[in-house]
Amino acid sequence: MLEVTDLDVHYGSTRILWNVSLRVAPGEIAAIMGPNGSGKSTILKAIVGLVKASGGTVTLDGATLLGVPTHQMLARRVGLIMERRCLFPAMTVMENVRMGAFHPAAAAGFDENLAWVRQLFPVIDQKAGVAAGQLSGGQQQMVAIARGLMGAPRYLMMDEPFLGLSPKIVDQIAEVMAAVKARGIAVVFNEQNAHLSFSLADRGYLLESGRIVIEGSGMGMLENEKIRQVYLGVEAARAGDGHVG
Amino acid sequence: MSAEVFFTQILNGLVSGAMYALIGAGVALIYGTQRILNFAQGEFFMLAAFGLFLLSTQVGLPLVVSAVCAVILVAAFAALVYRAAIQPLMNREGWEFSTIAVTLGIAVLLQNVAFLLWGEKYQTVPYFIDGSIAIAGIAMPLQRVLVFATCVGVIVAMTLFLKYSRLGWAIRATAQQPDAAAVVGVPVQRIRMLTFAIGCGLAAIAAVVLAPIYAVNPWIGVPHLLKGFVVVIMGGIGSFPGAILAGFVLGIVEAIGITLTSSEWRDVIAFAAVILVIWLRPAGLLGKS
Repeated sequence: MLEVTDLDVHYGSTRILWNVSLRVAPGEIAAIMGPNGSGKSTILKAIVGLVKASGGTVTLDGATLLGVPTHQMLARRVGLIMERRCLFPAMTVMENVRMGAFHPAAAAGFDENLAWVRQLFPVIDQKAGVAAGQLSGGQQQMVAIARGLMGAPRYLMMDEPFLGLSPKIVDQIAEVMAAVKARGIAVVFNEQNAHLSFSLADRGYLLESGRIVIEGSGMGMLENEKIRQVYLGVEAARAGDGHVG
Repeated sequence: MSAEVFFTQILNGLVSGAMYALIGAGVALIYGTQRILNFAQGEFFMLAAFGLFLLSTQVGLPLVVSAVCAVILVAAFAALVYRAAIQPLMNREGWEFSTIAVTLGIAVLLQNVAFLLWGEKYQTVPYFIDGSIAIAGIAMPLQRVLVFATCVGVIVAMTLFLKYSRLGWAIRATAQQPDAAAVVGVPVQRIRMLTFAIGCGLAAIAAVVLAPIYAVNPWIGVPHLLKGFVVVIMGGIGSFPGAILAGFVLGIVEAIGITLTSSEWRDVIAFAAVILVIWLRPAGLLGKS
């Protein structure tokens, strides 16, 4: 179980997160939903050590994760797929995928994981020798997820995995998330679209201005009155414009 | 210009070009991976030349052993300098300017320490190989052939290292996306320190093969630093292959240019060439705009 308790983060003198608590168990999907700038990405970055927490705890099966360097997170089987993919643009698609298993902890399952991600994402073989920076946004997202899975994480953080993607690619990524969950891997992702977030999630969290204001099961979040009025209502209006995310 | 003179200058240009390419590759490697303009690169060159002089002529070690030791010692010293003086600046606001100021300070400090220790007298180091070889009827000193072969060999080895080795992948990943590199398990700070040491080590390799040709003094590194920057700008800032290509282009252009004018025009020709290149291709020969 990955547990975040009363997490605080400051950027300089500005407080970004206020007593954020959440948890996810193996084989579960947890969604952090909130408007732009609410601090969603900061939670995931704090969990993997890319930003420093100023208070609270992050534990994995009871052992603290705070203070573990980012490059040692895969030794604890915690991985992150970063916002806007952050692929290595001048490296080829296959080099990017193989880089996902750079940490020695990922070496044992390398062949099996590579076969799995190639099956999940045929684009890996189709574009193996192409520089990752030349791919479309959807293709880049697939390579980024493949790179994340190559690290053999048991807990996978996904920072805005649907950002800027077409509805067709969104559906594909959602199917991949289900496949990842079926392997017993816990997923924590963040997203601005309430319906998309909570229909995929076992647990849901609504983050506003750095605070968790509502939490519950995915279904429970979809039925919550405030979420229905404020977030799903807004989205229903946007849906008419064909807006995604 | 007769065909023989032209061909001789092409050969000379290739030798100078290989040297420029190696020095430029070191500057490009450091700038390309961490955006640090290392103004002390020339002084690491100077230290390696003095290291070779000391170990071979004062301590009495064999020349090749002295050269290898000098390169290793300079690379290790560069790693220490990075850890002590540069890394602490990297997370601070305005680190780009701070690192320029610090590396300039290190350059001045090392020059003055060298001046205090060895004075301004020009020190000589014996040739690794005496004699000459005829290439298409043109005599070429074997020491210059060694410079060419060493520089080209190291550049090829470095290119293969970056492309195929695990450490090379870590360096490339750190250069392109440091946070993503950390997430996949790359110890980014250690890789940056190592890259700085390798970049300075490349200058040190150039220094030990050139030291027998150029006399060694505390200011020997300054013109090489300038040529390193010229090559990096001409090739496309931060581009490793660009620096190598630009090194050879610069070497040949200089060699032909000084034949048509005089050797005093060498630097004028070099800087005119870089201005011409960035006028025609602002991103450099292999840079991406």
